[in-house]
Amino acid sequence: MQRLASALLLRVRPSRIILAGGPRSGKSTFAAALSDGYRIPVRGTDELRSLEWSESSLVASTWLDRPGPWICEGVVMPRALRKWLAANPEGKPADIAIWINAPVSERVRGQDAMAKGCETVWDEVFLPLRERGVRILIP
Amino acid sequence: MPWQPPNLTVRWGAYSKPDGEEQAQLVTATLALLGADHAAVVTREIVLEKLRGAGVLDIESVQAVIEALDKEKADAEAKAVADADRELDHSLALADGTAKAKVAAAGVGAPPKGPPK
Repeated sequence: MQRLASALLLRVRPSRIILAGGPRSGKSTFAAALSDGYRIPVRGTDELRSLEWSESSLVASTWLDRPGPWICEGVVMPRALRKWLAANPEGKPADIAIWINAPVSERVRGQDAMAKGCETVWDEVFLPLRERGVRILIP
Repeated sequence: MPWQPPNLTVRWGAYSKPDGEEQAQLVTATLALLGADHAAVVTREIVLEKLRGAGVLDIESVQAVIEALDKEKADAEAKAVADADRELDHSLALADGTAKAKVAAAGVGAPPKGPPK
C-alpha cells in the first residue's frame, strides 16, 4: 500500500479520495500518508463511532458534498457512498475510491463481521461508482 | 627620528594535508552550506571544488561529476515515475478485473472503461 500511496502522490493531483474497507486494513495509515503528502484534510469515520450505522453513514455521506480536495476513510464509507448515490441521481461522489480490505493485523470476531458487511455494501456500489466515472483502485 | 618599518620575513610552514578529522569537519561544513532543497547558499560546483582542493575527493573534473549526478537524479526520477505508473496500472487492472467479473456474474454488457488518468 505504501507503493500505491507514493504512486498517487507522484502521479495524481490532489483530488477527492475515498478509502473504504474493513477494520484493521490500514486505511487510516494510508490516509495519513496521502494527507501529509498532498497537504489536504482527511476525515475518518472513526470519529462517528458513537453514532448508529445508519446515522454515521448519513453524516459521512454529507462529507462527500464538500468541495475537494479531501480524503474520507473508514468502514462506513461504502454505506455513505450508497446513500450519496441514492440521493444524487447524477454526478460522482469522489474522484478516486480505493478499496482496502485485507487485514494487516488480526481482526476480532466483531471486526470480521464488520468487514463482511462493508464488503457486501461495497459490492453494491462498485459498478455504479464506475459508471459515474469514479476511478477505482484496488492495491 | 622617523619611524622605520621593522624588518619582517615571511616564513611559510610546511604544507600538511588535512587529516581525517579535518576532512570530516570540512565535509560536514560544506554539506551544511549546500543545505536541503531551496536552502542552498553555495552551488554544488563550489562544494565539489572545495572538497577536491582539500583532497577529500579524488576527482579530475568537477563538471563531469555534476553531469553524472544530474544523470543519476534524472534516471532515479524516471524510474520513480515508471514504478508509480506500473503501480497505478496494476491497481486499476485489479479493479477492472473485478468489474468484469461482476458484470459477467450479473449477465449484463461490458463494463465501462475507467476514465483516463
